[in-house]
Amino acid sequence: MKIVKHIIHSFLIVSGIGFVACSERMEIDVDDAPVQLAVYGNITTDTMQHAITVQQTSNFFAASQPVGISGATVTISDNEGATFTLTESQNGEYLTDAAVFGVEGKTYTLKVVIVSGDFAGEYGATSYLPYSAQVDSVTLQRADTRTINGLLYGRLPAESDNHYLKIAAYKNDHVSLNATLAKFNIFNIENGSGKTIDGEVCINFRDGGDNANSIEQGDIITVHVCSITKEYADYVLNAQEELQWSMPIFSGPPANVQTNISAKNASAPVCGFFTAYSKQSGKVGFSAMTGK
Amino acid sequence: MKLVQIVILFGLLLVNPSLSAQERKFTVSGTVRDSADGEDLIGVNIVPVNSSTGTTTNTYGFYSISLPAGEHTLRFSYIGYAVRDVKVDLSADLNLDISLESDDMQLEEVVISSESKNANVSGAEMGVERLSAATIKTIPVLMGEADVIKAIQLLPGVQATSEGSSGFSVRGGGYDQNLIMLDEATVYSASHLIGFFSTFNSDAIKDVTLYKGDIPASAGGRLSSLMDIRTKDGNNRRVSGTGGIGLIASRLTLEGPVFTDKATFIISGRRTYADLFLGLANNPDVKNTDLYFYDLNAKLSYRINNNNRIFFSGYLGKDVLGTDAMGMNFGNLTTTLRWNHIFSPKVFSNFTVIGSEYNYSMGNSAESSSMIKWTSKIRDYGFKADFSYHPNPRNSIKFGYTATHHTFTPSEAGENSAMSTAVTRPRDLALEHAAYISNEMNITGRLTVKYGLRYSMFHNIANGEPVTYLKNYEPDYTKEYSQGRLYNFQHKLEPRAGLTWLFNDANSIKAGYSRTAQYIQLASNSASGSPMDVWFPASQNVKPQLSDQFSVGYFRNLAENKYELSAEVYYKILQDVVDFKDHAKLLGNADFERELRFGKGKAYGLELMLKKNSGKLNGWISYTFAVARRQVDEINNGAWYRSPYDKPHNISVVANYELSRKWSLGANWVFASGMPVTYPTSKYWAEGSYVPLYSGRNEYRNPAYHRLDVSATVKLSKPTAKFKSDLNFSLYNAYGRKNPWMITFSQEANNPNVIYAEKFYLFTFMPSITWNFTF
Repeated sequence: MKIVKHIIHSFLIVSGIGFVACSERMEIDVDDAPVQLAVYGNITTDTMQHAITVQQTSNFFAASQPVGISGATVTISDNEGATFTLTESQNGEYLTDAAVFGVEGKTYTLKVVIVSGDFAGEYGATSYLPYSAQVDSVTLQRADTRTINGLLYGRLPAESDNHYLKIAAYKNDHVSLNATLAKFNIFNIENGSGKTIDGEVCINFRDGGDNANSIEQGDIITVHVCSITKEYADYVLNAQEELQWSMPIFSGPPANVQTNISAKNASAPVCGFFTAYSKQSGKVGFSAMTGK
Repeated sequence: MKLVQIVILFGLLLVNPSLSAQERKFTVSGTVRDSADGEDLIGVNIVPVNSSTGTTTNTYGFYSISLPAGEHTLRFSYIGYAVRDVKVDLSADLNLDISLESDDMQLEEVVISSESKNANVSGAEMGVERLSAATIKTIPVLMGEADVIKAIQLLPGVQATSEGSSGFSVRGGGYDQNLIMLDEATVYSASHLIGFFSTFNSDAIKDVTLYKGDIPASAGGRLSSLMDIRTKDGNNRRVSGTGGIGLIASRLTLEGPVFTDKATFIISGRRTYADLFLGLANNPDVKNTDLYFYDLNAKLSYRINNNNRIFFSGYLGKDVLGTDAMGMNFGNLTTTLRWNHIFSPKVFSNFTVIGSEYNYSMGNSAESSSMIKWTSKIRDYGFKADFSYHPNPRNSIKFGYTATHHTFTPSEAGENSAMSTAVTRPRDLALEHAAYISNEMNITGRLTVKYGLRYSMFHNIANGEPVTYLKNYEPDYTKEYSQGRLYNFQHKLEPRAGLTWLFNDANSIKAGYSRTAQYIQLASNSASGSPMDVWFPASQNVKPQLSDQFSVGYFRNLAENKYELSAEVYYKILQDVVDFKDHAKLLGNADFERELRFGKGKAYGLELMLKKNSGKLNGWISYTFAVARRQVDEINNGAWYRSPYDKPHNISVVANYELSRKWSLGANWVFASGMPVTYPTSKYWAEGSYVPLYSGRNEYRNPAYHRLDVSATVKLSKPTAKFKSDLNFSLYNAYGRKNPWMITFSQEANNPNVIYAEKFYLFTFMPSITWNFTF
């Protein structure tokens, strides 16, 4: 339904509100909320250094960088007894070894232990790592004069009926086109076990310009197709609801995004999310255009 | 058994000791009309001279009063019209139709209230506001389009839900808690262009009454208010017209007799043409934009004889918005067929057949590779039978029955593919019906009591699909009912009562109590309402909402009714209030009942109003103190929180000044406490974004809202001219207050650690000019 919301927003822009609305910055004075511990990270099927951040929350309008928590013991273990211990990098970021990868079908548990300070206690979360969707190829197709659709060919895994996909894209390997929490595309596919994906639109790009998702002739586009859990899909969608434009006639009251991090023997509240997911990728160059 | 007891009690109350002495009485009845165009006049006061007990005309201009045999002088009075005394010598029942002439003294002045001159004091109703079409047209409004709802929003106890919106909240209630009826047909969405204009063309309207608390027993189905809009019947003297040409819209109304004194017609149309100007733009997005609405009111009245009249009226309105790539349209359709029948001079009846539909559709173009189409509709067929019985001068009894068959078609649909699933919610069917009886009894000249009872009933109707029962908001079990079978019967007794103590003609105190039940509501988690909200019924998982309202008021008129002063306090208790869980998914969700949460609410307030009815300077000042709170276990950690309509302080100042016979000026100023909001108070970093963490629900407020609108009208023709016209200049938001319409939070492009608030505001210094004419 993200597309529906997009349509609503777009239609409002062209249908009146866009003609009469003006904007300006304003000052809002909010009280300081109690500081919480924020734990965020994931483990994927990629072989790489996986990161978990352990930080404290800050005032919403504070202009400083997030404050990391140093000295925590951070581990990720699977349901077969393997444990990866993460080492502290910088500003509350903890990294696994570069050879670590997650395995489809396993369940992973994150554990963060802080022995002293305001956040002393034990924090943890558990996530299943879903089976991956098979990616045969990704192609590009012009939708209209300014929009390029990314089409996905492949197959959904047979291991489960309901699938949740996160689509994240980069150009030229490292420039994010939508690879942020606010921009990921999320798909919820019911009864899709083993289903063939035959050129479905999974992402849109802008042809030229300086938008975050703009691409130009010659760019190489990498599309990551991540099979995620329902809990993480809900987390992303709810976070996006809070991070995107809200309008009084279409938006309900804002609300905190859920967390799956639990606390034990801790006095401070905790927020954030830990998840495991599988990842497949497809690459395509922006030149071999199909369609009109 | 309970019902029997109530009927017995009702009968006992009807027995008035003061009438026990038998005396021969006859009934005078008839219709009161405007002498100029033959329109029925609603709320005309008819009182025998030297008596304190009288009656008023009903919504069809009909009155009935029983008097002892002999000579009497009946006084017909109606503000804006010359008082007329008529002598009658009663030796039998008498049919007496009366025409009233406009008061020459007041003809050039603005009249801001209809009814008799002290109706606010002497009438048995409280929490009721009436606006005439003339009043509505004098209030400066956005784009110069006279607007019923924008005028209503200036009354005490009524608030706009957001800048420019046609949604309104009455005494802390939600915008879906207002029953809006146009010629007795429900209007489900009263807005054009996302709310900037209401669906009602003021040229076609005769009378608007807003019941804020004292909802008559004949109406129900909403918790907060009844807005009863009656359209004109049409001029039965000659063909005449009214119209206007404005910057963005034009309108034309024609009315006249079909057969003199037998049948009349009125047809009224309006269309905006902003889209014509958009075609001149260079930007292709703007150039190819559809952006217009139109509406059409039509009515045919036929007087068969003195005892039988038929009215057929209809409304059609449509909004069309969109571009090459996407579009949407939405609109209302209502039809009403009414038959007035006078069984006897004491018994007036009205039978109504009603059809009402609201629908919308939205989607992108067929060429798009990811096609989305989304439609929704609610359709009603209804029947009403209403009777008024005037057994003696002191009692006025009303009773009747009403039934409505609802069809809800919230069929949000996408496209079935490997990566998406079409969402289709099956039609919901329901039957809502009610029987009612009420009496207004004048016990003494000073004391009037009103009491009534509405018994409302609701059934879901099986649509052939299994019915899912939820437990803790999750599916528990399903049950199958054969198609068309009624199930899930819910019913409520809704007592209504009121008391008026008249100290003298200028001074009274009133008290009232009303219980109202609501069986259908909107799936919308916004505070302002949108055309894409979906109506849904009570069900096996959704209880009807219930409101109990207590109110007390003091009413005083000064300087021979030139000034009206009123003070009302109210307290409302709400049960089974519907709210939505955090992050509720209402768009395209086939199981949105799982997103609902239920709780309780309360609202209380004080409404003060000083109104000047006539003279060169007239208008009103009102102040409202209002509090509205909700408590839902699953929201805000179970703690009470402010309802989105909790705005403690509201001030409205409305003034019209007759500068000369040619020029008149108008102004209104509104102030309202800021809307309750939930602000982000802290944040954490996750995958390239800051995730906000929020305060308690509605813990903060937006900045206060205030605005001044001004207008000037110059008459371009002589009062005696057949073709009259005037020019209206108006300026909306004259001092350019930047009231926040929405507030967003963005990250600095150069430094994502910096988050700033940005307010969007609408309509600063919006001038308009409209040429209005009548012939």
